[in-house]
Amino acid sequence: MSASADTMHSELAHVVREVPGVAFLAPGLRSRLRALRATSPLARPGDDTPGITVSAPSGEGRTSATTVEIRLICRSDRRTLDTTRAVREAVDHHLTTRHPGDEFRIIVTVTGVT
Amino acid sequence: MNNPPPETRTDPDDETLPCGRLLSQVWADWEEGVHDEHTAQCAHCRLAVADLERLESQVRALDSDPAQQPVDAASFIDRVMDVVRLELRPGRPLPLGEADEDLRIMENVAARTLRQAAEEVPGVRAGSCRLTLADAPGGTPVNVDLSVHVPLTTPDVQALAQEIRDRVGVTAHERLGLHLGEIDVRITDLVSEDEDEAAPRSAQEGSAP
Repeated sequence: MSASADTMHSELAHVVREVPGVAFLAPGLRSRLRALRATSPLARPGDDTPGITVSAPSGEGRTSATTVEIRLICRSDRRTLDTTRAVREAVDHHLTTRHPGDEFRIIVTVTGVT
Repeated sequence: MNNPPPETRTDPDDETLPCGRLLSQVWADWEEGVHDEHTAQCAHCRLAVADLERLESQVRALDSDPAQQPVDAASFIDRVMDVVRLELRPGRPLPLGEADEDLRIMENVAARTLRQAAEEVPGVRAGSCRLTLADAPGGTPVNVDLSVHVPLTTPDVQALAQEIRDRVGVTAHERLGLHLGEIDVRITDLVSEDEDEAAPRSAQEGSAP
């Protein structure tokens, strides 16, 4: 992961964690595996921002935009839909501000409620 | 890519991956360090291996955390199976909100919330809760198929089923924001209080998803 991508992940993680109703980002598989066994075939240096995936556009159909997927665990004391909408809005605002002119598709997936 | 024909099932619970390989065989090969060209290139096999590694890390985390030490083997197994259900079989992503919002909730997460809602009705024990996308134009409602045990002393089973249906519908809307279609409540057993207290919930009926 490049330094700019690393920064983007960190900034997005901060933005998401600040949204009311977000408990935490989904734990990163690779990070846990790295801690478990350094020889894991899935271990890749630099990919340690949990719950956030940024995929470059593939040039096919709707995927002409960069896809940002957020996977998170929501707090049960707020309506899940409201939390995910707030996350989407916060991420969209951040990306629009920091990357004007770029096109993003934002996907928010709830992997747990606690 | 080498795509072998579907392998013969020997275990009814075993799963055949879309590539035709048995999940159990893919996992066994990984554990034994057996590598071949198919597994290296097949997205389905690689995902299956990733699932197994995730389970392994979860179990080791449970085992290494003093605060999480199991009090007995049954408790530990229950917790491991919870991890299996939620981490290894999260189900499909279901749509939240409008279709074009790209908001999703994993099937098992929604199912667990709806089962809890059903169990808010006194005496009700929820079992399987299957969620399927309704085939409806212009929207993305989710159909619910929920099985429950209810008290043997229930005076009006149909009224109780309606109460469960109402509770599930309200919860889906107010807690999750999930747009439900049909809510089918199947009463699979009438149980006495003694039976209900004696039987652990997981033994009453499968709960995944």
